Amino acid sequence: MNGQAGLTITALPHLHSGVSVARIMYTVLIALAPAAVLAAFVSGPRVGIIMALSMSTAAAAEWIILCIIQRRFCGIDGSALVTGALLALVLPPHVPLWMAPLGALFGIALVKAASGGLGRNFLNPALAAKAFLVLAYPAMFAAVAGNTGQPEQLTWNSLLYFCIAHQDTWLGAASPAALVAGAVFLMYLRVIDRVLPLAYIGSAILLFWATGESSTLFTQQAAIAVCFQLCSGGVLIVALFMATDPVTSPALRTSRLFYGMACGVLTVLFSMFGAQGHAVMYAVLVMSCMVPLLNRWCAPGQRGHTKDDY
Amino acid sequence: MRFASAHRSRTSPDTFQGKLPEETVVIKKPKVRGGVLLKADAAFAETPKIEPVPAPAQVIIPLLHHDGTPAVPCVSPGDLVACGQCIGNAAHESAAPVHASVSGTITAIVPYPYVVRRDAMSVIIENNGKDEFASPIPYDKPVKECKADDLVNRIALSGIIDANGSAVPLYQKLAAAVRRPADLLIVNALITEPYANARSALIHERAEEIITGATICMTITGATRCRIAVSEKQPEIHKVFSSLINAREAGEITLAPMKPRYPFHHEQLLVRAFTGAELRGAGSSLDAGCLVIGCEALAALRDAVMELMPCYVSVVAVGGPAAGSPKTFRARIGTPVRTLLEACATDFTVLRKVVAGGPLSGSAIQDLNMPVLKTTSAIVALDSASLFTKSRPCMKCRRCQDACPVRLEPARLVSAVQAGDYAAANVCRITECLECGCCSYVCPSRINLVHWLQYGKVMVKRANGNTTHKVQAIA
Repeated sequence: MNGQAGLTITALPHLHSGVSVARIMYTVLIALAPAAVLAAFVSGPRVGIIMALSMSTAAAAEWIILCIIQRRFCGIDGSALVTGALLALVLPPHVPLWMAPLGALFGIALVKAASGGLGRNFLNPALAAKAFLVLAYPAMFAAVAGNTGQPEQLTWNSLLYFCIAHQDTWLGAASPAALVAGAVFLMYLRVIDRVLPLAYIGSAILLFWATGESSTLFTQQAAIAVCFQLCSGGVLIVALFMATDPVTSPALRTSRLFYGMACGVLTVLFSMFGAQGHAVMYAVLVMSCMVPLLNRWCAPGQRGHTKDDY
Repeated sequence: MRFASAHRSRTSPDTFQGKLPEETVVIKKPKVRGGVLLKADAAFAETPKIEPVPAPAQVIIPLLHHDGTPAVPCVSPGDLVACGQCIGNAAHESAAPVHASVSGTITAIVPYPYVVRRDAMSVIIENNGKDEFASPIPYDKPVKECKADDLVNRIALSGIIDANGSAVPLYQKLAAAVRRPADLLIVNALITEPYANARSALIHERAEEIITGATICMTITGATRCRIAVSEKQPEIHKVFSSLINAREAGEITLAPMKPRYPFHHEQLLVRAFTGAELRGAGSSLDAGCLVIGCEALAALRDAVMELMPCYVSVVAVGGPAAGSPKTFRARIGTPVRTLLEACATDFTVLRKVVAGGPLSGSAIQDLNMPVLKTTSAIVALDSASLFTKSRPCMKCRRCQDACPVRLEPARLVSAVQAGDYAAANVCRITECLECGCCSYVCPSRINLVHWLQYGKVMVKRANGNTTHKVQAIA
C-alpha cells in the first residue's frame, strides 16, 4: 500500500532475518551430500545416475505443476530437489533406472501437489513414493529385503568400518557416519529438530536391545548387535532426515517427543512382525497420519500454558 | 537465530565483544527466552552525540501521544503561546497534558495524521523564534519538602509518556504504584533494535539524571530495590552506570545485564525475565510487584520534579540505509519527520519507507509531514532493499513458534484468521500477542504474520463484543 510521497506502509517488522525457504532446502541438500558421495563410493556411479534422474524429475514435475496447472508460480525453492534426493537415498542401489523418476513423479504430483503444495502434504513425498514403489513392484524389493549387508563377525572394529561405509539395501544408509554428520550440521543450524530424532533413535535402541536374545542382554555382544541393527537399513536416514520433515511432524516439542518415541516403537514392532526391511518407512507413514491429532492434543491454548511447556 | 543477517553494516568497528566491568554488582541474571537476537553490527554500536535540531518554522502537536483519550485544547487559534505552556489539559484520567514546544502563534487546531492512517486533533503553532519559556508546573515548595502526592502532581502536569511496549502516561503508573506498592523498580535501559540507539546517546549524556529519576521514583512508590536492565553486550553503558551506582548504597540500585534479545524491552517480558511472573491480558506489572519505567521517562521525570520542565522534546535517533549520516537529535515535539530526515542528508530518491520507532517495533508512516511524538525514539529511513518481497506458502518450519516470546503458534493463528475462524484464534490465545514482529522477522516464507495477527485481534475483540479497539501509539 502506498501513501503520499510514494512511501510504503506495511505492518511491522520492517527488517527481515534473510532466511528463505530456498536457503533452508539447499542447506538440507548440502547435509545430504556426504551420504550420497559415500553411497556412490560403495555402490558405483550408478548411484549418481539414480540421484540425478530422481532430482531432475522431481524438479521438472514441480515446475510444470506450479507453472502450468496451478498458475501460481513463485520461484523454485529447492524443496522438490530435496524430495528427489531423499527418494533416491531410500531406494535400493540396484533398482531399475526408470523407478526413481516414477517415484519422484508420484511423490511430487500426487502426494505433494495434489494436497496443496509445499507445507500442505500430510505424508512425506519421498517416503510415500517409496511405499508406492514397494507396493506396486514388490518383486524389485523382495530380492534385497533380507540382506542388510552385516558382516559375519560382530565386533567393535567391524562396526567402525560398517559405520563409515558399507553396502546396504537403502542407498543412503551406506554411510551412517555421514548421515549423522549431516544431521548434526542441520541441528546446529536449527534446520531440523533435535528432540524428535533423539526420541526416535533412543526408543529404537532400547527396544532393539530389549528384544534381543535374553541370555546375552548384558554383554558387549548385545550392545554391538543393537548398533548394527541401528546402522543397517533405513533407521538413521528416516529418523534424521524424513521423520524430522517439519511439514509432517507435530508442532509442539512435547508432541514431537511422543511422535519420535511412537515411531521408534512402531519400527521395532513392524520389523519383528512383518514388513521386514520396510518397517521404518511404514512406522513414519503411520505416525504422520496421527499428526493432526497430536497437534490437537498438545495445543498450548487448550492446555493453558505453564512455564515448562516451552 | 543463526540465519540472522538482516541489516547491512556500514562500518565494522567490532567493539561489541567486550567484557563486563569487574566491579559491576550482579544480583541474579534475568531469564530471557524466546524472541530473536539481532545480529550485532555497526547499526547497534554507534553512539552519536545528541545534537539539537533548529526549531522548525511550524510545529504540529497532536493532543494524543499514547493509548488513551486525547487532551482537551485550552487555547484557540490566534493565541500567543510560550514554549512549555500547556495547550491541552488532561480532562480524563487516561489523558496526559500537552505543551507547546516553541513560542509563537497558534494558527489552527485541526485533525492531522499522527500515526499511520489515524488522525488526532493537533495544534499547529507558527514559531516566532523568540523561544520564550513558561513552565506549566507551579513552584510551591522545595523538592525536599514535597510529599509523594506533590511529586506525582508535578509529573502529571509535565505530561511525560512512558513507552515500554505500550505508551502510558507516567503519572498513571506512579499513582497506581502509590496505591498498590511495588517492591521492584525496573529501569529499562535495554537497546534491542538496530538504528534505534537514541537511548545509548541519552545514557552517555544523562546517566546521572536517570539515576536521580529512579531514586525519585523509589521515594514516591516506596520501592526498595531498583534494577537497571542493560544489554550485556554494551560494556560502555555498564561503565557509565556502574561508576555512578558504586557511590550509592550497595544492593539498592544495581545493574542487571541481560541478553539483548528483541523484544525484551517490552514491559511484560521484562517483568517475566526479572520475576518469572507471567502477565496476561489485563495483567499489570504491579500484580508482580514491579514497576517498569524507561530511562527516557526517568530523565524527563527528574527534569519535571527538579527543574519544573514539561515534556516538550524527545531524543530521536535518525538512521537507516537511506539516511546519509545517522544522527541523534534532541527534537521538539511536533517537528515534522521531513525536517529530521533532511538534517541527516537523506536521499529522498531512494527512500521507500519511513518507520517511526525501531525498525522492528515501529510503524511505517505515510506522510513525511507527520510530527515527532513524545514517544518517538527513532526515525528509520529504509530503501527498496528493505521492502518485503512476495510471500510464499507456509512450510510449517515453526521458526515463528520458536521465536514467539509469549509462546504462541503464530502460523496456526494466522491460518485460523485467514479462514475466518476467530473462535479458534481466540482459543489459541491470539489476544496475548504482543505484536512484536519476531514471527515475521524469522519467517523463511516471508509471510507478514503480524499483519494477520493485528487483523485477527481486532476481529476477535469484535466477536467478543468488545468493540473498543485501542489505537496503538507508535513507540
